[in-house]
Amino acid sequence: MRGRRFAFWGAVVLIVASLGAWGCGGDTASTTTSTAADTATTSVEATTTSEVPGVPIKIGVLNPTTGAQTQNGTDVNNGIKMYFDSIGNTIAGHPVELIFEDDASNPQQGLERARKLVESDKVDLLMGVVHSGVALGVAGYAAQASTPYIVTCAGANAITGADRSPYVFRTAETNAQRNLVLGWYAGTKLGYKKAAVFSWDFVAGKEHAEAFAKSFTDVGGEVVYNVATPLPTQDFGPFLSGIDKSKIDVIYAFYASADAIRFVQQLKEFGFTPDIPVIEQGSLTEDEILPEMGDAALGIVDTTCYAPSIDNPVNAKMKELYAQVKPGSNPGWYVYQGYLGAMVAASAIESLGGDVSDKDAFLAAIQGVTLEGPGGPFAFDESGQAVLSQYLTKVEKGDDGTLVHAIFDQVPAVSQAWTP
Amino acid sequence: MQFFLLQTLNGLTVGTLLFLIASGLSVVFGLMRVMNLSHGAMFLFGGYVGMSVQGASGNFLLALAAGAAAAGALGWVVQRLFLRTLMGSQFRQVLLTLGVAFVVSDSILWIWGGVPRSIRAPSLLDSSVGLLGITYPTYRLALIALGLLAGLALWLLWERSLWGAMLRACVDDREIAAAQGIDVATTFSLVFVIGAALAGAAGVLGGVVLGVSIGLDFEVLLLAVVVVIVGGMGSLSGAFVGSMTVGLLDSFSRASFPEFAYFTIFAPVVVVLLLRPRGLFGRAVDR
Repeated sequence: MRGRRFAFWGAVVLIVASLGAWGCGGDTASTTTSTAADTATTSVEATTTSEVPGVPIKIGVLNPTTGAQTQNGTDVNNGIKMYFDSIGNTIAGHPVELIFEDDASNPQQGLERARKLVESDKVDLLMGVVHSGVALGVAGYAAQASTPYIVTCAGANAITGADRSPYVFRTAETNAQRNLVLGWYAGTKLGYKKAAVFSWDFVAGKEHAEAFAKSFTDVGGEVVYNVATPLPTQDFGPFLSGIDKSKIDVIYAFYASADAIRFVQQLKEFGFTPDIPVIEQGSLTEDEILPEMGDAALGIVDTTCYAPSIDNPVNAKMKELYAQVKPGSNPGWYVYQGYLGAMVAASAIESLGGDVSDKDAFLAAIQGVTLEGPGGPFAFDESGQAVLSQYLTKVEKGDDGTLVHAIFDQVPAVSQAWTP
Repeated sequence: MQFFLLQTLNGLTVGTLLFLIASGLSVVFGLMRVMNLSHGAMFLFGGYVGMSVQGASGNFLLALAAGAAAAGALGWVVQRLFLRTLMGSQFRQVLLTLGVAFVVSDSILWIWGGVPRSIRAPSLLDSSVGLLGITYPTYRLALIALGLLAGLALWLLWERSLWGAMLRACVDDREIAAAQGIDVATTFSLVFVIGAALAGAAGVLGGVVLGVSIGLDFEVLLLAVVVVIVGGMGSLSGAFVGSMTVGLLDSFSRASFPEFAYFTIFAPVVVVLLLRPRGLFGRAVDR
């Protein structure tokens, strides 16, 4: 009898442990990536500049620097730090103090650290968060505590949806935003008619797949297969075997991280690619994991608000700054989002001359920000949600044989309610 | 027909990988009455070492050997330094293996980073073959064949060799086995190391299909535990039948009702625990 009981408790411990592990990954388009280099797990870190007159402006930055999203959080923090360093950590004569905290992609920890930033560090502004669950919690708290909050990555539609608080802004896209463009583009410009839609079976997966399906069917396309796979899916073989190749002319997929690599490789192994084109909204061929996919990724089309190859002076500056942080590599989406968020925050503070004591004026100043970011023109819509250009890219082989995203088209000013 | 063939092959692929992992877990459980929760970590550690060795040498067989050796060595350390000192205190041992799992998993994050990686199939097998109207990856077919071979080899060792008989004796009744002059502690160490090495080899072999990434250790462990519960603890044939059952069931149900993927994995566990608590091939290890 004893053996059986141990087996049972062993299984219970295991299930609880693994649910905990998956919980960390349960978020939006963000991938669970990280590289060993420079992922210093410093949870608290302050950058101060002394000998500048004026009241210091405190900005609390909350991002995962431990756990599965360590790399993402570190990238965003780097982007934010890079920008503030580049302006000497001073805005309109006021020193800027960044206070970094680690949310570990855990909603409870995120909330607790947000509280600490607001109540004990007395920050004037909150920024950051990759995980949608954390962001929703922090957004609710920021509204309660009357502290402006700029979401830099998390994609859940609800953050800037109907129940959005006036204290909450987002400089990244919603889960739906890119897919609206992609569905329309696939159905019209690319001329696809019958799609197989693959996504993860959880909230973000549904938001992505539904937004794509809606805009694709609006222009006359048809979703022949709608496959929701568990998070994570180790083997896509069974799901792929259920698809009749002759009935579709395109595959849409929303995956990230390890599942994305497996999906792309297995598409090739099971003979889907290169015959059937694959389209996606950016996370499937994220720059971090693209090299692992090899030639199986060639030809995949995606929409994104940022690619290193975008040609403008702001992006050139950002790439130059990033080359000092991580020599020889290009900034990815997460670095870009951190950098953009910092630009937006700095621009709002600048317009107030550095006086952020009046909350209503501060909120109005953030809402009113328009600027040229590394990805082109930036503005907020009336719900504090970023309006950004979308770029259509295709995975190709670069001159040195590595895989790159080559931009081939562009759709300007895409909002969360975008229609053609 | 094509659907049936494809899903059968998919099921056998998953089943083969599960067998390599679950066989060690099951036999160690039978010997020690302790679920080794660090078994998934051994799998992933082997996979990462194999990935690095392949990156450096380009040789898949070398990567496979390195992955197995590294995981075996890790198993030896864990067994020798930690588990031994807690002999006989099962709850502490279970907790300890869980701790080891977390430490190994975090060390992997520290050494290799969190970017998911992949292992390339050996160039000989890196293609697809047409088979009765379906396209199927050659590597997976080779994997199934290898799994059957490994199963046969382990079965011979278990049922036909003197050492296997000693092992079975230890599983059935440790005290009596010890009284007969069998060195239970050494036998156990050896089994633990072999189990870990098999898991490490599975990490490299499976890495081609699944990739290697943080979190995969617990995903795989969960499936292996299901196999051990369904197949019966401490039984090699149980691990084999359990792996293939879970693999095939998983494959067919995922293709037919993808939304119920987790339900169809755990439903058999419930049924087996209700109708035959010791598992399909469980030996009477209870006292």
